[in-house]
Amino acid sequence: MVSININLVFTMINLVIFYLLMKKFLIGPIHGVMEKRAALIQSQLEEAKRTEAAANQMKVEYEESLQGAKTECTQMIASAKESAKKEYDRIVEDANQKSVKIMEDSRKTIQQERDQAMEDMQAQIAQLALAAVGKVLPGEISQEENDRYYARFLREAGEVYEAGSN
Amino acid sequence: MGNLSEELMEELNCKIAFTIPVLGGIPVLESVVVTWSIMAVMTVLAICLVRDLRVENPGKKQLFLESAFTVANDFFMDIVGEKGKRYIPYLISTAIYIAISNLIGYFGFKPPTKDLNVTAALALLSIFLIEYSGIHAKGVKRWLKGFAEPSPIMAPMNVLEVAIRPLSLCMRLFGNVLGSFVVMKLIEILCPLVLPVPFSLYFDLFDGLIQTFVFVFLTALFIKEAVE
Repeated sequence: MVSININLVFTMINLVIFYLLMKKFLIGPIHGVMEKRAALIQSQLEEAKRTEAAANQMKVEYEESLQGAKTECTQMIASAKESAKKEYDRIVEDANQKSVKIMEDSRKTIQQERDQAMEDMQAQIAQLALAAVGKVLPGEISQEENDRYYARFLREAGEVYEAGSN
Repeated sequence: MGNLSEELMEELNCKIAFTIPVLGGIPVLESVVVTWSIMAVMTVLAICLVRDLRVENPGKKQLFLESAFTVANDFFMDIVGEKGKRYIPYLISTAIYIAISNLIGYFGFKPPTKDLNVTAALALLSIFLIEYSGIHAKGVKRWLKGFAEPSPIMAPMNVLEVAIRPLSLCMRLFGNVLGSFVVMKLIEILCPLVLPVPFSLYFDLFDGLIQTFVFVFLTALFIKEAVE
């Protein structure tokens, strides 16, 4: 009833063939498709990681450039302020100098005009004095005498004027 | 009572399906023929099942296949480890074969595992695989040295183990299937109505699957031992 015979060998061959069949038609394809999916997911994960890294890199770059722009902006504002200050200072200085010059000029002009006026006045006074002298002194006075009087008058009058102004 | 034992004997005998008319006639047992049927059906089924596997958007059928495969793969992976990974397909196909063989009684076939030739063949293939995996992983020299571990005194035991392991695998499977078959037949003869159902669920379904599990589990365990 229970015996080992040639069917043992048949069964072993059958089992090996069954194993090969299962491997070829069942386990292989399932395993293959799962491996493929795992590879796909892996590649997608890596892709996502790469993209994230690139995005982070870009973010850092943008932040850096933004920071740079901010610094530049600050610098520009500072330099603009500085140059404006310089310009302002220069203009004020200029204006000061100009006003000093104008004052000086005007003072000079005033001085000149005063001198001119003084001279004119002296001349007129001289003429007046001459006329007065002419009226006071009888007769004719020679030209030489005239000049001498005139000069003396002027000198004395000038001394009086200077003593008064001092 | 004589009638019963005769009937049992009749049922226990693995009938000769046909005889190959060479070398004075080679008898081919029913178990071999049933195995062929299992092979044919499973191959056709496998081809149908894996026909449209997709990497993306797997269907329900594919999800079922994949989760079943993952369960089996993880189970064996836990036992045999990375080094024994290459033997997992064999373990899975053996598990499929034994499970179907043990349950095929429900479809009116005689379970091939009830034939000692089949369980012996399974056990022999297992021990071949176990020793092969040992040689493959360690090389012949270290594999031979492995027999003298943990001490040379144990060598005879270790050599004996090579014979005992398949014998125990073979006999355990055969004994269980045969035993449950005998018990079921007795119950059927005593009371053919209703009563056999729970017993059949236990002896045929549960025990059949448990024996499948035990067989491949032990084979995987021995492979793990051999490759380490």
